[in-house]
Amino acid sequence: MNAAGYTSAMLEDRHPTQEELIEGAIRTIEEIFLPELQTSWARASAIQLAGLLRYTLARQASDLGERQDAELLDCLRGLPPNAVTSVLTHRPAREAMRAAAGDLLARSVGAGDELASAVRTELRPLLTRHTAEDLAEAGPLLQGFMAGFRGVRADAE
Amino acid sequence: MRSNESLIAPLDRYLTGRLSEGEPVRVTHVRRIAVGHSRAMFMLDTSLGRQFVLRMEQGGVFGTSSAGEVRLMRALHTAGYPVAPVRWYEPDAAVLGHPFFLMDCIAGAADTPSEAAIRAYVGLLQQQHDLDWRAAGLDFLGVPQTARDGALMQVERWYSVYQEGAYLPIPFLEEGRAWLRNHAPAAARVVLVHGDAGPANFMYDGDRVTCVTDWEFAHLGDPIEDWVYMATMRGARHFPRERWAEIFVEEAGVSITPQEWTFWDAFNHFKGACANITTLRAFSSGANPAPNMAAIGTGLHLVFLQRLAEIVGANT
Repeated sequence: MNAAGYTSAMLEDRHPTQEELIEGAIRTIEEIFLPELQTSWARASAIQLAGLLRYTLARQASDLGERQDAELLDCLRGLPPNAVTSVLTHRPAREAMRAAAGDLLARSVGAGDELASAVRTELRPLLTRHTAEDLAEAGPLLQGFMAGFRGVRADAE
Repeated sequence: MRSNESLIAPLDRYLTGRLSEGEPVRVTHVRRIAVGHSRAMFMLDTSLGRQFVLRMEQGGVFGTSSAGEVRLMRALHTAGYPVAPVRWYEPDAAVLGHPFFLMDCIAGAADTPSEAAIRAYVGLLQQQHDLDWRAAGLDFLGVPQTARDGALMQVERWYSVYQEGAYLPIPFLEEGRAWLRNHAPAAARVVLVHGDAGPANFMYDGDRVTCVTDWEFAHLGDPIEDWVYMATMRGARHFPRERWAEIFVEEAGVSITPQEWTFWDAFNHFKGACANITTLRAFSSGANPAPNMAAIGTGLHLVFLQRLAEIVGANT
């Protein structure tokens, strides 16, 4: 306690963090709103809203986008020389890299050349992993969606 | 988004002008029929004792419009196929915020059909496929010109929906399109395809089907699309694929080759991934900020995308 009588805890000039705000919103929805909602659509929307907020928390803590961009660029640069990646700039935008990846995957369908083989063994597994990572990150959103959907279906039954 | 109650006043005015001769009509109760995502569906009770179902667009979700659906439903009703009679179609978004149509409320349930009701629906789907679509005036849906067009037209349809709706290129959709174009089967015949066939898209009363619903994905094409969709999508929680295959043979005389299962399974996931991405734009643009739109446009889209990539990867 300082001379003015304030403890260190009281002196801490602290606003709620974004995480605390979002977690507070989630608890308000689940503990206050949800028990009061009468219609299945409103309850489903509330459950899904809580899932959306949990997804927001996960996204805030994530560096998935930057890491995936770096990995994709490395992979594209490592493929055999080709007309698609040769036009990429030194620091291509995400859109350009994804367009290039899509173009290469499409060209490799049914193809047997060296580039197609490299796309199947290097690029495709990378994008498969990225998709799985994105899906895992979207887990709270999807779980909220399915929980709301199940509740509505249960009411209908 | 708007509350159920906010629909009442404009609907009162709309129905008064169309349902009565000057006497005011009041909507006495509005209840949202949940589950559906591409359209907002509401049950309306009126002061005249009549019930209607309101089916309203949701800001471009899934890239479909009501005009074609209404025209199809009216043609099917005229042809004697069990669909709800459409009373009014309103393309002007000024009335309720989005185009909508109103149809008669048909008695029945939708969510947990018995096996007997499912079998009855399978028989009806075969009747739908046997419908003389030319005589019914359904050419407006777009007629496939070659045997493979039944598949190719739908691949391009959903590819264009993805191109218009996505914020970024999606590599596995580019690959999926190429694979589907390479593997498109030749359809034995061109039929009216429902496009979203299966449990929850028909109403039943006991073991009897009272009407078939949700026609926004309907088109002319390959009937196998509907059978595989029912077994692997809408019907997956009712029976395993093998049981569905038996039911199709028993009730409709339909057999599906392994290649057809693979192709249409891949197509259905391609279509789902393309369609679902539109909800993300609807959410992010504010056209429809409901949380289910965000969930479908991200998580559910990724589920479909992942499965599409698995099928393509296993069949390359």
